[in-house]
Amino acid sequence: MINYIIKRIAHAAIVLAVVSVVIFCLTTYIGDPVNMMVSEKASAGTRELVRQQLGLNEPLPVQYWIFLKNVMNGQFGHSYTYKIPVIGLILERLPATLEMVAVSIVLAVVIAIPLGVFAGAFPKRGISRIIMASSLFGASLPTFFVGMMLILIFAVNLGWLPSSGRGPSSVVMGVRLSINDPAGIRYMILPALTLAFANLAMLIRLTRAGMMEVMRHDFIRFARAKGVSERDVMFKHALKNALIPVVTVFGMEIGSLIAFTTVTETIFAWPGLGKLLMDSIYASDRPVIVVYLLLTAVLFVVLNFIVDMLYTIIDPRIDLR
Amino acid sequence: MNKLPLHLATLLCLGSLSLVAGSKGSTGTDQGRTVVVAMQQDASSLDPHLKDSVELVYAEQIYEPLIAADVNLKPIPCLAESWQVLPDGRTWKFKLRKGVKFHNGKPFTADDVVYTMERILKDQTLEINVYLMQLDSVKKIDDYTVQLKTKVPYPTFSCSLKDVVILDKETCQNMNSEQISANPNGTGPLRFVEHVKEDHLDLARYEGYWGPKPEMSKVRIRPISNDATRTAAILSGDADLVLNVPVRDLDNLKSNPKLAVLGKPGLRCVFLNFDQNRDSTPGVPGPNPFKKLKVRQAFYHAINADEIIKFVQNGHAYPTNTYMPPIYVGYTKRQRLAYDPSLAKKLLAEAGYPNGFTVRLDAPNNRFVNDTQVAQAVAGYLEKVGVKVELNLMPKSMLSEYYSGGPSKSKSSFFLTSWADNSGEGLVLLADMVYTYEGKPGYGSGNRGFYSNKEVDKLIDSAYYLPDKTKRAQLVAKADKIAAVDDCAYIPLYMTQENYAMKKSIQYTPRADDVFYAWYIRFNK
Repeated sequence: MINYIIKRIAHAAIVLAVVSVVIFCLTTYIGDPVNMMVSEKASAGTRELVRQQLGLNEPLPVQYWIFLKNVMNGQFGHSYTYKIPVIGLILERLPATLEMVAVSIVLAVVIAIPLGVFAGAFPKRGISRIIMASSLFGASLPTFFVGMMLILIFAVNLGWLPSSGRGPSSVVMGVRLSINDPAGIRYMILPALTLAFANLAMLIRLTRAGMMEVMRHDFIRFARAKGVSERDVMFKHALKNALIPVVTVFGMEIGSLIAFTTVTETIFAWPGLGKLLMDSIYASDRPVIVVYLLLTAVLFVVLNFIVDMLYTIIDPRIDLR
Repeated sequence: MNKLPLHLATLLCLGSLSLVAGSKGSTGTDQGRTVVVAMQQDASSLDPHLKDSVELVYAEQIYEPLIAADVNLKPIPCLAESWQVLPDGRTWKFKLRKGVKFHNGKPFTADDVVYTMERILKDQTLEINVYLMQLDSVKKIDDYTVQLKTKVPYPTFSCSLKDVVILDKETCQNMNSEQISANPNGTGPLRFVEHVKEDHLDLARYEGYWGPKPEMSKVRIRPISNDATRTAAILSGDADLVLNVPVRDLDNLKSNPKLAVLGKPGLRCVFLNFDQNRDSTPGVPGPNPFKKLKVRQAFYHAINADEIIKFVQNGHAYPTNTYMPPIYVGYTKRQRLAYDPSLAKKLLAEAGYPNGFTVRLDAPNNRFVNDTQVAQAVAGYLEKVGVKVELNLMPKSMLSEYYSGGPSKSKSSFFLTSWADNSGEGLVLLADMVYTYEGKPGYGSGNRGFYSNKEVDKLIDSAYYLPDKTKRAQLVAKADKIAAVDDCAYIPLYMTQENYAMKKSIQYTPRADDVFYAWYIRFNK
């Protein structure tokens, strides 16, 4: 086990090193940050001064070396736009995204798993066909369209929910939350649903596929023969065995949900990480982009690890070595 | 293992649903006079001197300058009750308003003015520094008199001062920019309550304000960058006033009986610029064709700006023949050069390009409304007179890298761009746009085609020292005509339209410069 963990950490280090070089090189192609930082009317002298202050006059390998040294010392740099430490900026935005993603995951799981189980257990029933057809529909709709439609229906036409923004929030132990406030949850429903939409379809399909395969096995027939109720057959015997691919895919999907909520957050004017990434790209705010994407890489590495660990819990026969 | 998570999840979900049901009615704008305004962008900092952009709009809700500008950009007294320019033309003496208190209760005095000016002078990276480029020194005479001295006689200094807002010395002197941003403390009619980045800025009426107090007790400014979401915010009633309403939603909003929609000319001019001073230019093989006046004239005549306004902008733009907005000092009404493709062909032939040539047009795709389509239309018109156009579309952050950096670095030969100046003075605008690039420090910084005409420079120079507005206007008008008509230094396409949508329960009078001031909002009784 310890060997395994050490191996994984070594892998992670290599991944991060490669990712950091790639991102660092790519961000130099998204426009000159100096032009975005100084006023349109600034003189050439001011521009040069700012360039020197930022160290952007150094060749790229030197810039990368300085960046690496700072990261080793725990310095992730200052945002060009906000002029505050990048880590602080990201941590400040993280709770908004996390709470929205959490609600969205709950929505996806609560809706998708039962539907998937049903569709997999009784694939020939009409309802199953409807579930599958509508999930295909959900998978093929782009996020921005779903988001705008939800706003149009529930905010503009029906007036049930707010159209955008984050609800009333309060600071709990240094973290700004809105999920603890009923009014805050009202604001969260539409964006979370938008975010859940694509995953719903995928989860239903994965669960169904797993269930269909498992339901054919002898132990299901045996369980039925010994008189287990149909509900227990489905949820206790079959679902557990059908979950492995669902956990794998959904585990990684959570990573994308947290890291790339850009479209949903932009549509709903949600003050989270996705919006930050978007704005930073527009503003050529390199430090934010680099650190953000690096953290994303870390997130995926960690999630991958957790998913592997979960396998052994769901199916003890799986051996990680 | 199998039962627990599912049940937990169900519980959570049901719980949240019941919470939702319970919360209905408890939210909304039931506190009387809270106004919600949706804008396009958030401020990255509330340090009022850091940025010369949307940040300044946010800061000006809270802070005030010595001299402000009225809705038509005429200078009006603000923290300075009166001012006077001494006969040397360089010394400005300000009588400060007495009895003004900052939001934290500290009195406003000459020390605050001296501190503010010195802070900006000391730090070139504060973008507001450009407005004090001509400021030489600042001196306190007594607690309520301050003297500012400019490097040269500079009659339009009052226009520059309106973007220089005053900080409280006691609050700010030991703070860095980040701390100043976190603790806004101004003298304005609204005081800072809370800023949650990318979500909202809350302001409240400052009861100790020296002037007429705003009608509303609370304002919330919400940045909503996505156009359709901003429209949804006013349609759903979540916002009372929406700025930068997208053109495509105007008709829909106008038909809504609960809303009032307002469109007016903005100060932003969209134009085409040529690299007209370098011998060879990056986007055209061979010698630089734009050095020839006839080529520039041919381009001007080849493009039908009226059609662009009518079809590309759906009529939501205004024709223009200069960078200068009509309300500016020095504006004169003139006709544009006529749309005449056959004349354009003739001019090209006379210039030595009977078969046209190939040019790269650099244009933004996220800078202003329908910018991509405008660039495509321009390319279409030029193809008709034989000029092959390679369209090079990109986000504005990339584009600025193309055309800035001066003659040694600019990678553009022909580009679509825009400029907005809020000084109200044609002189300030022309000094930025048509004065020889870096001809004098701070001059010609927007002149990215490197247009240079000694006569224009001379006219601008002599107008600079003229305190008399009428005489100044005459010289400015002359310089403007030479650059825009005689020399065809650029091709103005149109002035943009600024659109507002509001609930009928409120009233908002937009300023000529479209800077948003929350306290302009009035309630309809």
